[in-house]
Amino acid sequence: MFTATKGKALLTTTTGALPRPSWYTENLRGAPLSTGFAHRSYREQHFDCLSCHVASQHRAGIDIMVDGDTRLDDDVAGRAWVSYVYERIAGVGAPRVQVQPSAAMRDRGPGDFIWEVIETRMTPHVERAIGETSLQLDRAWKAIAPMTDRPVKIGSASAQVLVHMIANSHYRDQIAFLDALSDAFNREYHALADAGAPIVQVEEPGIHQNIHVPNAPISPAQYVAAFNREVKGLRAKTEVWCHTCWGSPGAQKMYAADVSYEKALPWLDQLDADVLTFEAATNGGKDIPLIGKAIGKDKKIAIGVISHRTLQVERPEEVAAMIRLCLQSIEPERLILTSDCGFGRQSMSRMHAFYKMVSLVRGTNMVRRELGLPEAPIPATDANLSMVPLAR
Amino acid sequence: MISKDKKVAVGVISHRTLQVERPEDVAALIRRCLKVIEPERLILTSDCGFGRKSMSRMHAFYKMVSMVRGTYIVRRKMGLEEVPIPATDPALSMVPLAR
Repeated sequence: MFTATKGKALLTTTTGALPRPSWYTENLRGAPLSTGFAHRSYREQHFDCLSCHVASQHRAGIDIMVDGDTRLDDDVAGRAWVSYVYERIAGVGAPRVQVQPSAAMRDRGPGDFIWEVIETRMTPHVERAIGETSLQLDRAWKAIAPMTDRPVKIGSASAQVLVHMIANSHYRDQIAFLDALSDAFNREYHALADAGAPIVQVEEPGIHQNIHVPNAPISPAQYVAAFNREVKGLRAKTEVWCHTCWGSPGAQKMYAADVSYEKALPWLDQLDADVLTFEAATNGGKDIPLIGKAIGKDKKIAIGVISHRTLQVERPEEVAAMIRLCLQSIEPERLILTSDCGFGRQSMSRMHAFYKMVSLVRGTNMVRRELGLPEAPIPATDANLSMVPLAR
Repeated sequence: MISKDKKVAVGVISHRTLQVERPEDVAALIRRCLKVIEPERLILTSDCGFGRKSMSRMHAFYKMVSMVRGTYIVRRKMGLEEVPIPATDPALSMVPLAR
């Protein structure tokens, strides 16, 4: 159900990960979040980091905040986006020195950025039936919720991502493994929704990334069924978002430069989600007309209008131009503006991420003004607070 | 426009992007350079420095590797000397090459 975005047009947000302060040095290393919160130094670092994220998003004028994925460990190229999850699933063993099942090794070798990423990815096995999970997403949300009156979006790598990163030494086939993981994740998301989280974001379905893979063991229809199993019952309690992009370890695109969502769109439209997000800034919005045509009116669409793969901060005018392109195919009340993917995962500096958010909101305000919609205040642009004189 | 008494160093990898350029893309840019700049006057470089609070060491390193790999693609075609790139030595891979 629509909650945070209900009845609102052109809201802004980002995907989830944010670069963290340099003093954020302690990692959970498999410990439950609740254990970390009981350790004074970790607790202080975590909560202070959340405060920094809230302050920066407030200064940028962002409507729907994220928690920066603050619970994740600071690992090479964002490994913790996956390892945080598999470290907290009963039935999954300790990681082994082994290449993961779906490593993007084709056409790559020593000397490639992604090869070094693969070298750092240890692979666990599912050794017995999936049991209890302790992601504590509800706790992650409760930590940030009191810090702002704006809605906060909490997301996690999905069962579909995990099934490609964990070796299957127990289930009869990948579908059985995926179903078990999907059920486990469903319980975690319900706990998050029951805690009061207005938005739950599932990152991401396997459809668009695997539809290009010859002889893929899981079909698009099976991915759809599994995703809908993973989010079953959630839309009665909260707003469900599904994030899609073309991969982001260290901000690297895992597919060809001209890869398209086109073939995946009919399947993505079948997902039981309120909002679908799409990477678009990286290729100038090439797929936007297709997305507008293919995704049903029952869903909202969040389009990436700022890129996580570039350090050059987009100009607000460029963001506004992308938004106008979106509006040719997507109604304002169904359109949300976001980043292509998260800004963490060993990529840009806090300053870059911050000014990309500012530019996102400035560009959105330009279009809001044209449409007669209320503009978001952006404290970062307040001329009275400039530390240097404006006129020369 | 740049006279023959000068060499020309052209940026073939960007300091403004996190996406590491593919060696093939670097090679393509070098071939464009060679249409107007003689090989003995051409140096390959980055557009600008990688410090100044921009990308991570890992990004900067692999951009350098890609630049040299791309340069070697062109050197090979031209029969010019190549020097081994230790970062690409398969014997030193920490994971098996074949699946």
